[in-house]
Amino acid sequence: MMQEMTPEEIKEKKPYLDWSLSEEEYDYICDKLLHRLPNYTETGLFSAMWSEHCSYKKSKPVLRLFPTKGPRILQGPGEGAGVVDIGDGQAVVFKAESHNHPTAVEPYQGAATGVGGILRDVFSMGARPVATLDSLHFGELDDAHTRWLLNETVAGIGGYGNCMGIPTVGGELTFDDIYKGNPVMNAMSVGLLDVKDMQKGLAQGEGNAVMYVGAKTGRDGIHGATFASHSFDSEHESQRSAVQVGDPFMEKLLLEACLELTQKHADWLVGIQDMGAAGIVSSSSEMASEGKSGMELNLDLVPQRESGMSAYEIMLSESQERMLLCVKKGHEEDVKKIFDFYDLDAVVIGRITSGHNYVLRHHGEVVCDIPVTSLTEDVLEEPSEEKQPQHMIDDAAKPAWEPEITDLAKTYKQMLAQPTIASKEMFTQTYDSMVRTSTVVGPGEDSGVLRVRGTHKGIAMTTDGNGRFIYLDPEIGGKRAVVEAASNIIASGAEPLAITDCLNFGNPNEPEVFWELHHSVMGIAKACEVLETPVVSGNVSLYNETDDKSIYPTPMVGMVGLVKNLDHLVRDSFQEAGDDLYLVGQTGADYAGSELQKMLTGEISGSLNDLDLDHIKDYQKRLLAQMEAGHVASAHDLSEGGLAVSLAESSFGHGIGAEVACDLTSAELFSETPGRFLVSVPSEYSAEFAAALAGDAVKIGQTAGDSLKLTLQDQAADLPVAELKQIWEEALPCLMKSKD
Amino acid sequence: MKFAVIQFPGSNCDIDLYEALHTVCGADVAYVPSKESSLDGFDAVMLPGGFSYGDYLRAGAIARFTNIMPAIVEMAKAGKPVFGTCNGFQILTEASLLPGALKRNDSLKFVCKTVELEVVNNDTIFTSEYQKGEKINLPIAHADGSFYADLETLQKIEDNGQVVFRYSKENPNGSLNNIAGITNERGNVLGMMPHPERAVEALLGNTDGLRLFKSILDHAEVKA
Amino acid sequence: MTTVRIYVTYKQSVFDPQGEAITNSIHSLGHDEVKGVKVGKFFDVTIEEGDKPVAETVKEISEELLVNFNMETYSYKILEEE
Repeated sequence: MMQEMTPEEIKEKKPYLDWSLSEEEYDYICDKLLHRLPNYTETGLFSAMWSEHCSYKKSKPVLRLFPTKGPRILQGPGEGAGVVDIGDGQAVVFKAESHNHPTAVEPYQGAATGVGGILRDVFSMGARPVATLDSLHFGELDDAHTRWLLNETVAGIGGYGNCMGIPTVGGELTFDDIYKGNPVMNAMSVGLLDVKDMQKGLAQGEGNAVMYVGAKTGRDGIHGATFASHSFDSEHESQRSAVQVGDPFMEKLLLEACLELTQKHADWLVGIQDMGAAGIVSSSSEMASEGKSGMELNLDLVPQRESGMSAYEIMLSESQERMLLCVKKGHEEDVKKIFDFYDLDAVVIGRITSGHNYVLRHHGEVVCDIPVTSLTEDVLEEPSEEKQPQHMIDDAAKPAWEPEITDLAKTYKQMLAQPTIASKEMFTQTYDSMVRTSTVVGPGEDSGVLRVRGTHKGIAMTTDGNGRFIYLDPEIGGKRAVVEAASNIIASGAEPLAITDCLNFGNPNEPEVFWELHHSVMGIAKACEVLETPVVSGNVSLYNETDDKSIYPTPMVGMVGLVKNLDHLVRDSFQEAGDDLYLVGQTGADYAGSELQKMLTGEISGSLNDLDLDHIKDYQKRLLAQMEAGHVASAHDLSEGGLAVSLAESSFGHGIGAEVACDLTSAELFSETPGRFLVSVPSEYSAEFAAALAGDAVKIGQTAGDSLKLTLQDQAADLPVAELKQIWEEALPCLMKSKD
Repeated sequence: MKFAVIQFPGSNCDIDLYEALHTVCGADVAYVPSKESSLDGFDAVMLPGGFSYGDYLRAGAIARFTNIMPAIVEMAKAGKPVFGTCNGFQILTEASLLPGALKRNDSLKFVCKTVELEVVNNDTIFTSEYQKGEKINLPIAHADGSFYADLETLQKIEDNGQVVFRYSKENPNGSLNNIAGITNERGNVLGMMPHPERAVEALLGNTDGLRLFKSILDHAEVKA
Repeated sequence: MTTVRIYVTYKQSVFDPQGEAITNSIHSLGHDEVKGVKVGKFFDVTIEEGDKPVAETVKEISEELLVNFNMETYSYKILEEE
């Protein structure tokens, strides 16, 4: 074990620089917060809590732009997860989190613990997690290492989620070379809550107990928080070491024990929080800070599975499957009894004190005595320089790329075989999507839908985040991400309620990257305001780069919506032959950043056209009303690959084809103008539908036969559905089998 | 008729079974934690799917030593209906209430999909509501569902008519003789890898499992 | 104190898809000289020998818990004796 440095040695040798604390921050802490030099343990705690991952010091100024309030919002950002009222005394609770760096290093455990962490955030609010979604972005599949990363990541998500017994009902999986060294792995958890059972991460009341429950503490992931606040450097492979191992069986027990406590004995509890990044120190200091309390902890009482752990290691360990509780004095044994039933440790490790200090004792000595807020509220926000990316300025000066399609059938088939477009079933089939028998719509459709037991309601959920658009224009791309999510929700017949987000970006010290962050948040905020979907929770993952090459700015939007009556749930697939087909929303020349552009030119370039958010909101509302009236047979939103892909996907479900005759050119068939839908309407409702959507919907044909017969402005094609489906189904299994 | 749905640490399809019986079939059901040792007052015992004890060592290997197991064995001896799906089937084989064993799927991956089954034997308390030879669709969700028994045991199972369900279109896990579900010799204990409790409501897309529960409700016990 | 390593594998007659998949991967790396791989697990068990001989303890725990005799078989060796 390292000999701990003295405060003077720390000041002189500056070991904190390796832990991501800057000299300015260190000096500020000494001079303005402590009025003395911190010891080794204290310096370690500051390094962790002042890291970007824990403090959001660079991103906070930007995150303030998000609209976070609304009539249904019971809890916005700042707690374990966001809480949104769905009526009948119930709420939906959700949050998304990124686990990019751990997944790049040890994909199975990185992904598994990513799922584990986000589940704890949801049940720390007193909600039972009922569904998981994941948003994954990898490099191209011609690389053996990428194939391995993908297989292991999917195995980790399934391994954890299946064992927990929580269905994985949706998500997205895309491929771009830019993610090669930096895969993006975001997990979203959705839970249900009886509003009266809602909990918070709060510790207060002098004499109340601080109780540690769950798995024992080991040396896992020490410096995981600072690990995620650092880019990878290919020269330093040894950096890649701090990955935790998850135990979903332990977490299942922890979940049941915590819910028993929060649902049946809330009167014993003051607050509860999960131990995630920076383990004990972050959860305890945040809870104390929230309660404006002082706290004293005795580290000798922390259950440990390794011997000889220093105070620093105990506080910073990121061992999984642990929660921190603030329990009313006198009820400690009651709480312990609940956890004993599940064979889980439940130990009083400290108390709430008067005053505002955070005091740690170890081996009989005080090893830390600092103001609580010096770890939380007092963290200095860090201003960042920003500069518009040069490629945007260059692209604006160039003429827009116009696709040339000479053979429509060939391009169409090629598109369906693109990895980002092709069927993901080989992966989604390894997730249990049906456990707990509440999944009405599982993976593969626009959004996952769960029924709410005891009611006729459903909740719809989706994750969306097309990095290419944000790369080309962060602000417009940000708007598009929200519109895309809302379209997926509405396509199921649900009303969008709110969003969570994972902001995956490169190095924020690069002015161009920070500009991307700032402007994408502006775009997301604007769209959320207009579409009335506040941001209720979220996560920021920065430094997603290797050797100074950043990923595309990839903000993931996770949206939840409400299906008021499951009788009017709308599916993606054509239901009957003879239904009228409508294209809702105007199609423009939106090829920049499209799958077509990538497929035909191998690159992403150009400027994005802006969106009329108010207009989109307006016709989306009218469309939803038609769905709620039962006038719509099927609806599928248009995204990557445009109408071409939506048409094909809609035909695959029941093998029903279509006859389409319209004004679009073959290029426009692949345009990716956002906010559009392909809707099939039974002929008896067609007139009413057309009237309600007048000006924004065009009849383009009808469902018929077993092929897609297209008569466009410039070309025609007759494509058998069975053939297209086979191409679409076999693309990924074929690519994944390659031997390098 | 009162049903017990056992909850082992890590069981997670307990709610699926409970709701199928209670809400859909209107039956009298209660959860029984595996720490309990008595099943007095119950007429049938149901072992749910999930990951009891995390599937550590082998799926079902540790669950079969829980307090409740002797009572389950007694129920089986008394001819009462004992039903296990997925992890429940695994536990029943580990406890030797059913022959054979379930091993890792040939594909080595977890698989969740709907498969077609043939009802091979409708002369059991679990399948009386089906037609013999009927084809039904039921969901599966497992990583360790490949049924194995040595040649002698396999022959006995077949000869005794203990095979109740067989995978008819596609064998999703490599089970010998495409076996998806079997009973004990007496016919009162059924274990199956597919999840009939996930196919009892039209809302969720499939009701082929409903008749299995209806069959059980028609029978209180099987005489020795 | 004796440490015993107990090896558990599928029985000969049982299909081992993992062993096969691994053999194929090894072949694709160019090692045709590898003729077969069998996958199993091992347990390092620390036993304090009292009245019961170590061999008997090993037999009991293997039969009761560690081995499913429907499909598995086992062997063991002594690693360390103190």
